[in-house]
Amino acid sequence: MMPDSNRLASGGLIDRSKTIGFSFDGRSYRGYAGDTLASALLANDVRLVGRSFKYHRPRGIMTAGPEEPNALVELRAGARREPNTRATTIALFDGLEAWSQNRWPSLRYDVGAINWLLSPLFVAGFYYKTFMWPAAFWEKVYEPAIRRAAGLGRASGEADPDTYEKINAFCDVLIIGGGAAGLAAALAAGRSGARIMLCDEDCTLGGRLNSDLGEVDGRPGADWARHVTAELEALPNVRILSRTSVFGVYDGGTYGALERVSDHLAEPQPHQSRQRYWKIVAKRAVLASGAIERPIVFGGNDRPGVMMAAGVRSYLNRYAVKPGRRAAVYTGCDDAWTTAFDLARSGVTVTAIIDHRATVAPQLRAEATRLAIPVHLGADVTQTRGGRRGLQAITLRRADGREQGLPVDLLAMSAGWSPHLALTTHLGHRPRWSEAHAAFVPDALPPGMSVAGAAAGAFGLAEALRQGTALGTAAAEATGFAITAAPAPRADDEPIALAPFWHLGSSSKAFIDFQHDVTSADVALAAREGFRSVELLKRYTTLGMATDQGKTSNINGQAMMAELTGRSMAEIGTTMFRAPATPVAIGALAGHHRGRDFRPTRLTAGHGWAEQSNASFVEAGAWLRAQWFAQPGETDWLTTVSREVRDVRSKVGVCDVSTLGKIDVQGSDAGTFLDRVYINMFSTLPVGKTRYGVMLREDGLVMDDGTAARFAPDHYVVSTTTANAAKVMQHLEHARQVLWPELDVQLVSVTEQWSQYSIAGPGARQLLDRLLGDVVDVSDAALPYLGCVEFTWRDVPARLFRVSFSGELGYEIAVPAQYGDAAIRAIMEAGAEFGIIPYGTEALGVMRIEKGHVAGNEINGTTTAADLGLGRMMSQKKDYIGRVLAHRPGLTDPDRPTLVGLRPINPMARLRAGAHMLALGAAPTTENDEGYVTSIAFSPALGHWIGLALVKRGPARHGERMRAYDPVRDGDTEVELVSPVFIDPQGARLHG
Amino acid sequence: MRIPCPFCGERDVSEFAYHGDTAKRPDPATDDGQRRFFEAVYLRDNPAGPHRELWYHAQGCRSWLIVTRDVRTHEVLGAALATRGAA
Amino acid sequence: MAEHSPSSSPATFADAAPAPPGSQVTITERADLGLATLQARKGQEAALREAIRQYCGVMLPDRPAVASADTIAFAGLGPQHWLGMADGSSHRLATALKAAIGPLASIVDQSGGYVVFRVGGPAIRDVLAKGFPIDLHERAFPPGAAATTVAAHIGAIIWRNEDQDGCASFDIAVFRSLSRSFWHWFSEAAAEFGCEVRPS
Repeated sequence: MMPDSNRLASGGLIDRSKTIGFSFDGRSYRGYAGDTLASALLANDVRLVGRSFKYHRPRGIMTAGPEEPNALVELRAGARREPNTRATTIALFDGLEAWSQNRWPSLRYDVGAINWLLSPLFVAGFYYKTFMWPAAFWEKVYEPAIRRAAGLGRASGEADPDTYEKINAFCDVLIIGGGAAGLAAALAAGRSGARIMLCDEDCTLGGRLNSDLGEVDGRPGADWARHVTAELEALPNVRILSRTSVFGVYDGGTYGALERVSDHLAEPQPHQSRQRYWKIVAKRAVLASGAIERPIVFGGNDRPGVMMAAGVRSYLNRYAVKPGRRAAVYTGCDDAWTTAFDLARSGVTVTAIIDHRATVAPQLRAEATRLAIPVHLGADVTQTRGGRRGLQAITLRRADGREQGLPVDLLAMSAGWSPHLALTTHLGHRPRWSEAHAAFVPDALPPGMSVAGAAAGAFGLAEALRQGTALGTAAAEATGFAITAAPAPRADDEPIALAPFWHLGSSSKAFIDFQHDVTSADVALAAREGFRSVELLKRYTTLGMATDQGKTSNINGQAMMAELTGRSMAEIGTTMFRAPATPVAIGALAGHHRGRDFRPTRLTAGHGWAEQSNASFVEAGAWLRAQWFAQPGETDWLTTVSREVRDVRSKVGVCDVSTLGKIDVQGSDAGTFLDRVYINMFSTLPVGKTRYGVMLREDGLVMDDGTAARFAPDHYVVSTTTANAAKVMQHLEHARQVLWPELDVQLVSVTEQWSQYSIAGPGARQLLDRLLGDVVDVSDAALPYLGCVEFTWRDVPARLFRVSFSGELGYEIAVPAQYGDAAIRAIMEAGAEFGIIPYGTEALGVMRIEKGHVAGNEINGTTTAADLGLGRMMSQKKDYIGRVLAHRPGLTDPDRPTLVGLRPINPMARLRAGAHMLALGAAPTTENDEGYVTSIAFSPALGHWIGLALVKRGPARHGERMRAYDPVRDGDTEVELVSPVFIDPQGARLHG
Repeated sequence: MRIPCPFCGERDVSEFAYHGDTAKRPDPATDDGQRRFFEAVYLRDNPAGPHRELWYHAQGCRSWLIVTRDVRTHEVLGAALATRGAA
Repeated sequence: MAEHSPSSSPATFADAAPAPPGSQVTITERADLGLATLQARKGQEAALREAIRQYCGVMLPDRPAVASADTIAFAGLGPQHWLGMADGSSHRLATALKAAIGPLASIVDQSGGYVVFRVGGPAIRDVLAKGFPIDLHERAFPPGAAATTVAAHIGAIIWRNEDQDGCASFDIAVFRSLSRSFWHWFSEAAAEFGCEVRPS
């Protein structure tokens, strides 16, 4: 076979000056710029390109567009290998490598084709019926076997080396589809000055104009499309996105689109993404997505060489490729006759036009006669025959019932067109059946959308141009742009008549869904077994559930079901289309946000200092916090953390607590406001004092805890936990704006404004005196426990709070965050002589557990203030959020699990958070469950593990022994219930 | 979905946090306060059609909004600042 | 005792690549910018507007927009909520405003809360579109327009300056803790156009 042997000598839109080398299944071929992989394969007479999903039937190229069900290949090699890529949409690039898929060991000699002999096993409902029993067989036998036998291509299994990005766009009018109707709409709307976006899947605008020979405004359609494209590109208010599929319609005029930025290249240019996910907000949209040609259901209709009639025209006219040498056309509509005429004019022998209809327009017959093409009316194709290279002959059944064989290697088929209306249904609107069009056509539409051209059932070129112009004009006007009326581009009204016919009885397999191997027999079986609704038909047979979403198959399956069950198409209806209308890679949806960019990272001002100080970091929400600071020679985290705890309790330590939420609360009603959101009183808090507070949700459960400091009668600063900062802000804004808008109170987050460092340990005051003694008095008399003060330190405003989470003499110092780095370095420098060490969140956690302070493990959305031992804080003198429901019976039940400390009886035993609390000797059953361990730590001071737990009536059971039972991690530890305050219960250190 | 924030203008729904319907906080002083609060917190109407609901413009101006939305179609019929509307 | 020195924390542009020739995007940090939020006290909105007008000649905008005088500007962040800005004044802006406005507003120093970037260049809108879910087109977002929104999961306040060198110029304020993540997103989004980091 000569290379490129099926290429026509002239014509087409390919660039014959640019030869492109590529390979398929390891063999090298040649094509031209402007080819798709499919057209280049056909030009090189490669007809067999894959094996089918279930039966491993040989398959070829059926269409010339994105609706292709058969010609799926693995594109590229290595990490860039992408399975299930449609050869009809792959622009040819130099060095392209593609591989057929779903065959072993080779495409021609596929062992899996044995499935064909087992095909009775693979009928509709096979999975449901076969794998019911025995259950163990599923994992061991059926699934591995099916996974090998059925399926599509292989993923690369390697990390994707390319990048993807998201982009937002806004426009007045979005035009979806750049064929005749879309171009006419864009021209009309674009000339108005409105902001237009025109998205088209193809690399070249024009749609069918690039594949058909009809003229527009007196020039060939493809020329007209180039001309219009140039005019649109010159308009600054028009943005054209080619290689871009609009895949979803969302509420509020939002559209999702995927731009294949670099898919037509071997690999992306430096800094170029491979694909771009566009989120487009449009005031109006004109859908001009065209129509999809329908296959005919007859025996052997899946054989390589049986192609869609309009696809054949694309190969002839756009790519200058003859898809066969001896052809026949089988149809029930006028449009496919054009294929026969174009084939004949290109030098292909057309042996027959076989039309299901008894009569056709006289001018069609006249043209056939002129081109010497035999015509068979009222006739059908009942069977195909072939060999390894695909189609060799068809069986023709003439109007008189006699059958005859016709040797052909190409059969172009068409049962007419279905509007490609998937995008009209994404918001729940259903199309209606139109007898006149013999198709479902758009009915109710998403707000702001109109439909033009073939997508609306206007299958003729002239009417598509008229509709596009009219709807483009209307859309621009609706967004406030006046139009000088211009006539629609002119074209001839060609014949478009058709008579619908859906399937022919057949003794051999007649395919409906080519990609999922669903045959007419499967649909008949579904009908017999009662799966008669189109939605059940879809799920029972998997019709339309492959990657092509049934673009070529749904209508035929539904029509057959209608016929079998004696219902009309209007009655049977169609299934819902859902986004995405075309496959979208997950990577495109993630865009920038993958790997370490999965979400943004928040860093404190002291982060650089912590890095230099050998901190190990832990994620706390989006924050990175120093977890501990290992010193030379320390080999495990427990050694480091225990050393940090001992050093804080014996000397002094510093911890970055900047991540805690901080909310500035001002206004003459600030105190009243805080009284209503905290369970305890804040209006009585003296200026210069700090108080611990607890907030409830309105359902009575604890939401968050923290402190509030009062710096002036009308000025408080509230602190929240790191995790709940945003939630508390939202809660307080709700209280301020929705519940009590009459109060004079203003809120603003100052979490980011202040860098805050906790300085704790017996040496804390000496250190602060050294650091701040010349600007603020830190003596116990001037700044007692829970005191707070504002002052100026080195020309910078600063705040000092005497609070403690560790139970040691403790302070927190705050400076504006741009000075946070300088501040921590100053603290470390001044603390050197006192033996200061930095400590991380882990040591902080150990010390708070030693002191019985609750944190996120205890404030977990299921606990009340009383559960946490904080019930006495609940004021009796005022109302506050959550007060009423906190007193309902379920939340005041004395049996509720309540905070208690745990001490293991065996001092060597390790406790586990999450372990369940059981009475000694009780069986580990749900009925016997008396609570659970919330927090655990190794206490360096006590020399053993300690824990906090929520246990039924816990505080009344101090001294009792129980089991901490943890079957997941094989833990079963005998413990004693004790007070949750393990260290310094009198608070002598705190007040020191 | 897009919500017309009275201050910021129309924004994507992802900038907002949903709260629930606009049930008022009951008077805590009434005799059957516990029942009223229980109903306000847990028993929500779910009408098929226009619904008045509270949204928080968390990623924008931090206003609480009363949004009237047809829950069948997600059509937003209006949005007002909660401080100005009767919540 | 030595003064504290402020830091552009955390060393935002440390990993910036050298700008390729013909870069179409520029970014710089507006260091040492004074920032303070103002929220009108109950019933004091009119008095506050008048006091600010007398103080610096600026009419506080009642929508998302920036109004400015010689050395000071105010951006509308929300109802009765503004961000005041003044070059070179750092934390001293809040102190000055408190002295001038007194009890008419809750005034809070935010000089440490945000890092403010100034971005521009012929391709800047194409870069910003990759993160900002708002319409920054000439018609929709003229000079002086402002918006509080979210870009690449990072909360951001953006406003448009007068054009510079014939190109649109925007200021973007992000929380200080997120400035490095913001820069990382921005540098990736801008890479295809070439990005020049200019000293502040």
